[in-house]
Amino acid sequence: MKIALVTDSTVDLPADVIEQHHIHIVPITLIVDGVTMEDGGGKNSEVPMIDRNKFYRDLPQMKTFPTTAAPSPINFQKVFEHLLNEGYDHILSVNFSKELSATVNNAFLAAENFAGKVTVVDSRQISMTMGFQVLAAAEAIEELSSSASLSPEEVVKEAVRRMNDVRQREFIYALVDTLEYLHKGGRVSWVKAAIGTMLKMKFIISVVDGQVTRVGQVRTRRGGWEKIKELLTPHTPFERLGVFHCGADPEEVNEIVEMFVQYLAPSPSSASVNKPFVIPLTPIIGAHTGPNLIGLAVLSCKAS
Amino acid sequence: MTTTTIDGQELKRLAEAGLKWLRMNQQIVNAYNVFPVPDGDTGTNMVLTMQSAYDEIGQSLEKSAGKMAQALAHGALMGARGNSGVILSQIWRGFARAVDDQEVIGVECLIKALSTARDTAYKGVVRPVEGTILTVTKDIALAAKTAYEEAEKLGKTINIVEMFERIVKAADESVQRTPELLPVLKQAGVVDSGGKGLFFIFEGMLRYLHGESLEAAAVYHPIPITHFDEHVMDMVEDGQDYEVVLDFVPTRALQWDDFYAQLEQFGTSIQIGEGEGMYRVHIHVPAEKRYHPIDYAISLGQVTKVVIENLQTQMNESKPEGNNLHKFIQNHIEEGQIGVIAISPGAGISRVYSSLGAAAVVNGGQTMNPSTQEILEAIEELPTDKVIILPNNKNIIMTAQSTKSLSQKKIAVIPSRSVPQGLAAMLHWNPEGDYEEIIEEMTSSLKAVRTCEITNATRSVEMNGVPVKEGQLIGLVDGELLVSSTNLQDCCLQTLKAAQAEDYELITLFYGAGLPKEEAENIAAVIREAFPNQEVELQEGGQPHYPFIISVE
Repeated sequence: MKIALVTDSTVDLPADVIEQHHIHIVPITLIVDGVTMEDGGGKNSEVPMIDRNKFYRDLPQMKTFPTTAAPSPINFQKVFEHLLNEGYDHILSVNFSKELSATVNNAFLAAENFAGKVTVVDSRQISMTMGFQVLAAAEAIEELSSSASLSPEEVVKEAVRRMNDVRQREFIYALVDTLEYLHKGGRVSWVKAAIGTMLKMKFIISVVDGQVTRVGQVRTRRGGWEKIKELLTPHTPFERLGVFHCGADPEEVNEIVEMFVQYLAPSPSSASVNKPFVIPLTPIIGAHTGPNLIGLAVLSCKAS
Repeated sequence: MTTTTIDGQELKRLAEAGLKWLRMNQQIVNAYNVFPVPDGDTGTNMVLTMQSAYDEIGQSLEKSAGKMAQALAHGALMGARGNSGVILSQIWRGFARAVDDQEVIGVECLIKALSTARDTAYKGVVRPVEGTILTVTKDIALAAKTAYEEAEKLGKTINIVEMFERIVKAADESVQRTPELLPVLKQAGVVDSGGKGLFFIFEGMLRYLHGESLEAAAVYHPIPITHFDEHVMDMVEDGQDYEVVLDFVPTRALQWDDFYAQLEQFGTSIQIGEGEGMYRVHIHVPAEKRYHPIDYAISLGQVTKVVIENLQTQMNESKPEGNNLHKFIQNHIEEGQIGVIAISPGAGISRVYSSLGAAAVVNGGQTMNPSTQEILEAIEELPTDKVIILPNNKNIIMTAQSTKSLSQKKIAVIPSRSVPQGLAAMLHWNPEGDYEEIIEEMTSSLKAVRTCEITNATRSVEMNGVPVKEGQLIGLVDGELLVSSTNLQDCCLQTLKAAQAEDYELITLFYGAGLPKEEAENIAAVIREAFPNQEVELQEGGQPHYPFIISVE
């Protein structure tokens, strides 16, 4: 049987990993100073793709705040149709938190047209932590697709079960220099109150229950990363580790990688090396957090 | 009073005498501050504490010594300021406890009271140090007991006056011995200020018993101008109408006894401050003599500045709430949330605490030390019963801690010794957090930040191998004097270097009252250039005495 794994461009997995697991990406659109662009997408797309590092360099100078547009139900419908026509028996679509976007809802709406052949899951996460779930689903599909005794629905069910398990064991933290962009983006409720501080602050944010939450405030980067390390130490070692950033200084990004790579468990198979992912953050989120952010996503080896 | 007992009214007059004499000599006590910094004045703190004790009974006609003592102790407890004030209040507390409900204090009761005072004082200090007010209290109690026993052996009785003579003598000797017990006193060339203050209290009581005047200072000597504080002599005596403050440069060296004697002909509340080649005179005079001090000073040299203020309007304007801004409810806190009370030395710093979510801010006032009562009022005003206090000054920690026994609320004092430490702790506050966990996090965050303080030396001294001349700028790193300089900019740079600021990320400068914003900005720009890898932030602090308080993190 063939099961298609679909997600959106906010998944923030390395390109080679995406190809290796045949993950289908539905691109999300951004309007940057009047120009419509796509974040990730197919090779056949007519819409220009965003150069993420350039996006973060340009962000402070942009005249208008970049707006994001969730793929409409029609977009999803086309994708699902196409895949089913290609011979896939079932489609599993994993999308980012409904609190942060209409994307997953639109996917649900589109799925209704396909009489049970499309399963849509709200990852309750964004970026790499959604990526970890997608990878778990991909592995489940690869392991079980060739099984004669399982139906496609049962394979998808197992994939979803593994995603739920991953969701309990993964953590995401980021350090933002300023609340200005979160404030402009208007999607995070606590920002207005936090802005009143007279001292320059950096904020540690996370995603919990699908929402961007405030974990703490610090005065220095070092203080922020020390705190993040404190929060993650009980969850070491890590099965997976990823560092994302909004056009931050590569040296600084590397420092963070170095700080946490020691906790990355060796790969279970000798065939592959467990390497940390380092990727610029999807601008769908990055437009709301602002440039220079550095963040960390980990999947703990420990059961929750 | 009889020669062998003290009743309530007598105790009141003794307390008054002790207060008056201490106030007369407070600048001497202030000058003994080991650390040549202009805050945490022991003398002033002890005066304010005694004043509060006396205010409790000033109008009382109570005859019972026991009840009078209880009232005095209560007043001292509420008005305690600074570590020395708190210990003084503990001395009164022990004293009152021993006297209990007795109508009069006899010689034996006095001995017991002094012993109990000693015990209570020692118990109130986590790590008692010898060579301080504690030692003087111990020596006084011993002297009283010894005097009685000696008299007994000789088959004689000893009366109250004789007891006080022995007590005062013992106190004096004990104070003189303090440098032998506490090396840092010897190094600084001073005796312990708290002990000296206690000595003055008892000496005042003895002077009263002897019928001697309490109006004249023990020693006629000008104090360093950095210690000069007009508002310290806050009482308006009968018959005095104007406050005259003048600066003058004498043509010849002054004969102090004559100078003071002459000024005493004109008025009261005389204070003389010595600056660089000039003197500042403060005096309260009646209307008809308002120009006398000025004419007199002109006859001795050149008068450079005169300020005359009407004392009555001054008194009317300085209402308790106006001057001190004791408590300042900043942010709304719900019942059950954790409320933080921050003690702040300046309006700008208060605003920063407020912006970080402090439920209330208590201003330390000119002495930078709030009283127990002032902090307690802020505590009681909060709608929550989970309270955390940030004293932000080592001289306020004890005062904050003494509120614990005075309130039903849960109170924790985070031992922040500076504003930067307090701010670092404030960042870990979470109104909804677990009380014990938050306390632990706030406490451990204190060591993550370095504090630099820039101020003027109140005394010439050599500390940590750094020679310091009175009036010079000095830089302290985490409470250690490491830098002296004649120039503010240079002092800041040197102090930051001594704090190894180049190894840190963020330098935050809080500039003090009296430093113009432009000058602060210029210095900030110079610091930015000297530390190109650090972020430098400038904030208005508004604190007195310290041109800069700097956090390095």
